Amino acid sequence: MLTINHSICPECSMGCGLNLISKDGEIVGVNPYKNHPINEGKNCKNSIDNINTIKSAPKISEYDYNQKITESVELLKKYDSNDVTIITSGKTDNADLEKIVDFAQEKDYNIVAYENNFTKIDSELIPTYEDVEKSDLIISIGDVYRNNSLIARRIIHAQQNNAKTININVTDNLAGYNSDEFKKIESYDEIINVLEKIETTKDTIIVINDINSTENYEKIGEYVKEKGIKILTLYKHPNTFSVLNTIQCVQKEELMESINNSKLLLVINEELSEILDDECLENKDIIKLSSTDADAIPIRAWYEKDGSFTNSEGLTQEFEDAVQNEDNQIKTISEILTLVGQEI
Amino acid sequence: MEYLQVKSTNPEILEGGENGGAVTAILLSLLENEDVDGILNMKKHDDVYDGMPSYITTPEELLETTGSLHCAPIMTADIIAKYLKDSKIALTTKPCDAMAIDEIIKRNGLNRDNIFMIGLNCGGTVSPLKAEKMIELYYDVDPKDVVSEEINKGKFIIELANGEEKDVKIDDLELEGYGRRENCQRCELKIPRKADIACGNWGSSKGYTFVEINTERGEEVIQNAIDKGYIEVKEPSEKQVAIRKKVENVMIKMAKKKQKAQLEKEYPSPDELQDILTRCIKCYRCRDVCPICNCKVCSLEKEYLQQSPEEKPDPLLMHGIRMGHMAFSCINCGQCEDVCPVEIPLAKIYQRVQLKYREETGYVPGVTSGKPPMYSPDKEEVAE
Repeated sequence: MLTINHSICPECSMGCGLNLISKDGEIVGVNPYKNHPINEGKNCKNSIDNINTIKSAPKISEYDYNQKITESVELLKKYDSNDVTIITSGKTDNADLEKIVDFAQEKDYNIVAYENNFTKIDSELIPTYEDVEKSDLIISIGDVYRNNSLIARRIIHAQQNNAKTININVTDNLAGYNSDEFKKIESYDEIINVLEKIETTKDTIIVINDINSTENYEKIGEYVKEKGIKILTLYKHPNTFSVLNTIQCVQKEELMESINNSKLLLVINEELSEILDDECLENKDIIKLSSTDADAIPIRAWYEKDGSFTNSEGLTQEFEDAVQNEDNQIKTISEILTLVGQEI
Repeated sequence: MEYLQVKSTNPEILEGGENGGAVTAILLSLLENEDVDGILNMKKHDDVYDGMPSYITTPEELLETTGSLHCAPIMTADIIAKYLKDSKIALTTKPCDAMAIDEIIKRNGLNRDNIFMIGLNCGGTVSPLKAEKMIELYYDVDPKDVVSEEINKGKFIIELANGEEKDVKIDDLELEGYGRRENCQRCELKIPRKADIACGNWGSSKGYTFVEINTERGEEVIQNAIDKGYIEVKEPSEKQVAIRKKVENVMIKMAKKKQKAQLEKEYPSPDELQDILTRCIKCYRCRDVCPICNCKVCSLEKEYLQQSPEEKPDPLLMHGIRMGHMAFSCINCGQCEDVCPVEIPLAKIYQRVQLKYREETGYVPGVTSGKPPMYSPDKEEVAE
């Protein structure tokens, strides 16, 4: 049976809508969600690539959790609570995030997340997406065209309203080619010096999706406050906004240190191999919950569950199970943690 | 019989449908008599601005789809070609859907025998979010209060929950940048004659749908629906046929005017076009939603055509190639432009090329029988 349902893309923190096409309980394609206020039926390459990956990935709708949960409980019982660290990410929706935090607090485990050097920002400094279209000076940091095309669209609208655009990046990039000025820098360590030389207006907005350190990001935050302008951060995960407001977010070195100081890692919705060398995970016991790693304990994927997350402009968006496969017996993170918690 | 006025015999359909409810009644006849496995139709999801293509297999679901959704510019041809090609289905087809299906059939992507096409005459569709803004601004109404909308006699008409109707002239809305999508404004095909039947309200008596029968199968469908008591019919007068023709001609004339304005006068200069195309992120969405692009192996993703993310996009490596492969068959459905994340006016670019090609060859995509004169037989190998 063919069904088409609304969903929200989890590939970044914009919160774009899409209509997912499923056949016999499996995602087969995507159709434009033209009535979605954020993207009006337009989706970027990352979004479509993600759907294509899901389409070609092996499908699991049944799994025997008993043994894995027993093993996980044994491992968790084996170590002192301060030897256990939970590592999660903004790929986790609000309900599961809340459950993870409660679980960590209840069991007194450490909990960290790595969110690409971004940290919490004051809500009054964050513009709406519509504000971007009304801005008269937009300074983009990183390639927002290629990685967050639907905010690039808002920048294009601002340009059509005569806004000036400046791109700052460490490499030549699409945002640079499409801005009035491109400032190429050797390293983001120079970012504050470059920003200081720009004459801002009261409606200036910085749009950023890339930074090399928390320190430099915080310097930009201070600059924004000082100038009385706004900053829109486009995160790599849909729910980073909530993670930054809930969990201690660390840089790579600190993440490595947390791992080194732990004996057991409970990795939920995070791919450590994409962040760190595999070497730092040697000799560690790991319990992994993932919807994409075939070796992990499987969890419901984003498109297969109801949930909510908070996007880059601070708006909490809800989404529903877009596949609605009644035969899907895969559990959510919350369900698994509840079962594990009951056994410890 | 070539023309008929048709009325559903089902009071529920008459209540929810437009005019005579012929479309839903005929679809119901096909479904209940098991002439089809299912029906692909647009269904109101959250509100009148949120039309969702739905595959329907029960009469109850079908009855939920009565009425028009002008603010849902969704195409269904690619959904059938990709996911339902082995099913026997009926579907409603706007002229662009009918043209798309015709071009897909020419490329061996669909079997015409498996498809019952119930055509809908169309003066154009409106982008949903633009419609909401337009209703707020020009009708002084909360868009959420609108329960139905229609386009009739050059006006965009809304009906509110309290039964009140409000209308504004489409010309006035379009002068302000609202109204129909730009590609719809330029569209010359208002009656889908490649569909088995074409239904609409132009020229019809009150409470009836005006139906033009285009194929033998269309005649059978109508006859079966009459015989089984789903519809009742009467012949239109010559005057009614003439009125319908007049409406069609006026709309075609308006479309030609819009083509001239949008594709010549307001068309970007070569330098502007170069700048616009530099935005392209190569997401391939324009290709993915294009009913003409249904090759299994796409040249656009060939390794030697790829550029590094640091390089300035070369328009020839994406839209130049795409233009050479499909623009001669562009049906101006506007889907490419609708889904482009960086606002490239793709429908304008491709339709402009198609119109030049039409001038030289006479080929009207989705309308002319046979393949376009420059159609490459190599496409057969990559199509299926």
